[in-house]
Amino acid sequence: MEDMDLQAVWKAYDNKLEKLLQLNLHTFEALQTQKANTTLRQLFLPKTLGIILGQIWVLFLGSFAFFALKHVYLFFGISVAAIMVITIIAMAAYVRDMVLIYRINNDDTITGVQEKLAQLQLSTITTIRISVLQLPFYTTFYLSKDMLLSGNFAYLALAIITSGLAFFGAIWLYKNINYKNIDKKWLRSLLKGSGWNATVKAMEFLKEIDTFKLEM
Amino acid sequence: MQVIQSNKGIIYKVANAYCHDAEDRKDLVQEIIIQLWGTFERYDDTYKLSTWMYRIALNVAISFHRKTISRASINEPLTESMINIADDNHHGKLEADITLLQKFINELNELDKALMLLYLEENSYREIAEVLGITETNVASKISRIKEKLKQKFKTLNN
Repeated sequence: MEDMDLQAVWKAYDNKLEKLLQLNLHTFEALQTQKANTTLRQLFLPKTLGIILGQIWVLFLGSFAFFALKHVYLFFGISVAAIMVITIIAMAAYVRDMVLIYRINNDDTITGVQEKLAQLQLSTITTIRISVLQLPFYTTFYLSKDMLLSGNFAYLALAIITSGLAFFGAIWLYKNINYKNIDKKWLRSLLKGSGWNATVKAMEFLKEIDTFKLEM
Repeated sequence: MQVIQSNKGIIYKVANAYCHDAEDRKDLVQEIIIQLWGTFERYDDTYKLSTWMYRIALNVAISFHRKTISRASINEPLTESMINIADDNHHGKLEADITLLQKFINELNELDKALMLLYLEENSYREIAEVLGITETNVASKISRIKEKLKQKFKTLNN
């Protein structure tokens, strides 16, 4: 079958549709304002909720950090403040998503729109990636100047190993939890196991879009 | 309204390519029309009207398809009845070819399907590249690869 033949078959299909279709457009009139953009707007609710809960958490952490630093609990205060800052960054990602939802127009390019939509589905992953950076600070809040100056090497070694592992672990997770690694067994089992099928599909689709955009 | 009426074939062709369930297809057609309605005021007349309609219809259809498959979480096998538009007696070689072409298009992934629909509508490579957001060279190489596959399938089935 030649090129022109394929297009001729498609034209025949077009003619056939013209004969078979009866489109009663009046039935859509009542729906036009009611349903427009509902799909995208549905994404707003969980993000708004996330931002509200995040603000409460930040206030809680902020008051703790303020109290600790005021009473010179340096390690505790700095650790809580760092966790608070990372939570604010994670919340900023939610705000960025909400701006993105407003900016999505279905008359943009197919790959552009679909990429943005898949990325929105992955925003929970983005929040998790940012949140793992808090991990090392959970291993430092109990430290104190007196403990460090006590000269107890076993204690010092334990503190360094624990914080070091948490630090490198957090950086590694931050770098590796992304759609480009969706074919990796560890990531698939991590996500599949927690009922995140929609997220896995969004990751697979982003990878598909990447491949589609590649010139071969 | 008149624009939608006179280009309704585009809406149905896209809906038919991305949605196999008759009830879901009605919802998809409705969703596409609503989106066309909502975005018509932003229509940029440097684009062909049909190209602009394809862009919106394809975006809505792909999003709808992805939402539907994640809801259903199963891949139902295609059957002949799924790809019919309405009850119609299939007769003659042309009818058989239409059915086969629809079936092959249905088997493509979401993005390749969009590419083929635009190609079959006789859009230029430049227009297809603009709608999809990829380069013209990429369009050309992908189309030639998919066409080759289609021709092979037609050949196998017709022999």
